[in-house]
Amino acid sequence: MRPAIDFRAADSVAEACALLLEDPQARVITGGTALAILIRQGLVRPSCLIGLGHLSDLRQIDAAEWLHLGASVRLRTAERHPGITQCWPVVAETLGRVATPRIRNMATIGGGLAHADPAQDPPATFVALEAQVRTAGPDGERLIPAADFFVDYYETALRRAEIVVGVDIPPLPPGSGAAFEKFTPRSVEDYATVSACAVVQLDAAGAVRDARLVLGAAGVTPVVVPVAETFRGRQFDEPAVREAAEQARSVVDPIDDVRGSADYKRDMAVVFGRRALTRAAARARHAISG
Amino acid sequence: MLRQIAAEELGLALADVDVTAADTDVATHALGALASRVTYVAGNAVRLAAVSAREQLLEAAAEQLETRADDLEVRDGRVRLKGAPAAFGNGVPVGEVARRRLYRPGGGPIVGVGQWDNPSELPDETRFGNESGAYNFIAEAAEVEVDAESGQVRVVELAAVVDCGTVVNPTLAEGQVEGGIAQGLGLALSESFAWTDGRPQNPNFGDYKLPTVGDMPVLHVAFADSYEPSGPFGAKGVGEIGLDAVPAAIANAIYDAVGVRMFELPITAEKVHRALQARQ
Repeated sequence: MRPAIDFRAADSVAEACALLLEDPQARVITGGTALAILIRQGLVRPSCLIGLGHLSDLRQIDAAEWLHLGASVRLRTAERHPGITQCWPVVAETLGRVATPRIRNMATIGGGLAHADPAQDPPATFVALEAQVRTAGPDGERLIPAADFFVDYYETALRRAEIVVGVDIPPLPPGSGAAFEKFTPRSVEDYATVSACAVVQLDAAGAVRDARLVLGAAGVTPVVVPVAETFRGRQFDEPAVREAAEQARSVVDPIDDVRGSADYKRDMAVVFGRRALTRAAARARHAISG
Repeated sequence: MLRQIAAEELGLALADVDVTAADTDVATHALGALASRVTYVAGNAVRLAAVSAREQLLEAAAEQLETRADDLEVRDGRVRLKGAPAAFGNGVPVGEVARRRLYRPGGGPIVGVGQWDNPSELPDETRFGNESGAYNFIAEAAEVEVDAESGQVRVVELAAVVDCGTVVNPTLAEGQVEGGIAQGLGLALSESFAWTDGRPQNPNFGDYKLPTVGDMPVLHVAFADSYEPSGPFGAKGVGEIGLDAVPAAIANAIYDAVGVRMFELPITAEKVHRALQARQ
């Protein structure tokens, strides 16, 4: 039998941090979709769960200029938010592919970030969009670039007693498009064999001004493929995108598992990286032509 | 479906027949609901039990009405004189006959018992036998889309035509076949139990992947016009047949789409991808 676990509903972020500082075995819980499984599997044995449920600040969505998502925002809420579907469609597209609607109705933005499972979908998109993770802890608030937030397998840059309070996503530069691809060959409901988020910025003549490609489930953290140099000064065409995506093969570090061998995942990183770039470029062209 | 067979044989309305959940402490032993046996084996046993109950009922009615059992029949829940004109009235409700038989000196309930076992040849030392009294058949066809770059197979439509003898309950029969197809889809494309040193490596539905509602193709199920002489009202089983031809149909459709023959289940995207690469 699992021992009983205390539950404390925090009245403020500061109180949650103080409780974490007091008891190193305490854990913060929001949706519980990841933590409950870890507890059931005996991988985490918290002495106390700290609920953030009634901190309404953490449930806010502000899509006016930057996109500000509170840590306790449910994935399903964000995925259907009109401001997000209109102005950050790639965020809605990414969140809409996470697990199942049942899971997304519970899982939260901040919970997924803190969990840092490399097979998750949102991290690659947050890194590709140059998002910043907002944290709060005993030493105050910090803004951590998403690319620096994921440190290792299930490890983040969070310090002791520090919690995620939100994520801030800048608007895409003019002439940009972004796209997310998730490859789940066994079933539509699965962790990705590989996932990819691409951002492409074109100038009026169709030349690439900037491009970013980030892969998920392809290493211990989101894997950034350095595609910008390959594209620099070139038109976005088939040879350029093939050359750019091919670089994924050498930077990914996937594992053999039930979702495919490491070799296969390397092949698929190239295929789905290219598809994400191609769709992002099509959206960029659409943005330019209005 | 067993209710339908009992009601049909007894001349009762479906609502007048209940199936009680048997307590295994007191119920008689049977092999169980396996090998697509329920409609065929249990259905025949239920029909024989109903025949026995009807005979007892007509005997009791004949005694009560001072006539011969051979002249009586049960129809629409009432015991009537065979071929009697409407002027003779509506007959006697079955419940009334049964009640009068129970509440009399030396009375008792009407209990029909039936048991049935099909003729069979048990497997010999070479493991060949002929255990079923009536085999069901299926033809299945699949339409697939194959992603030539990833090897991913998506089944778009799947059609099945089933010979299960008389279709006793069309809704249940169609559901059985559709469920079988879902299992066949998992068998064909995604389900695989992994072991290392005797330990299961994927003992949960996250890692062991069943098809979900989002993976199901458009299904078409039809039934062949068929009658099995040894089955209850011509019926045969339909429990498992739905899954049987699904992997073969999908494998043949993959060959038709991209020209590679897949011989090992499950046909994962990775295997198709490797086969496509090997062909180039």
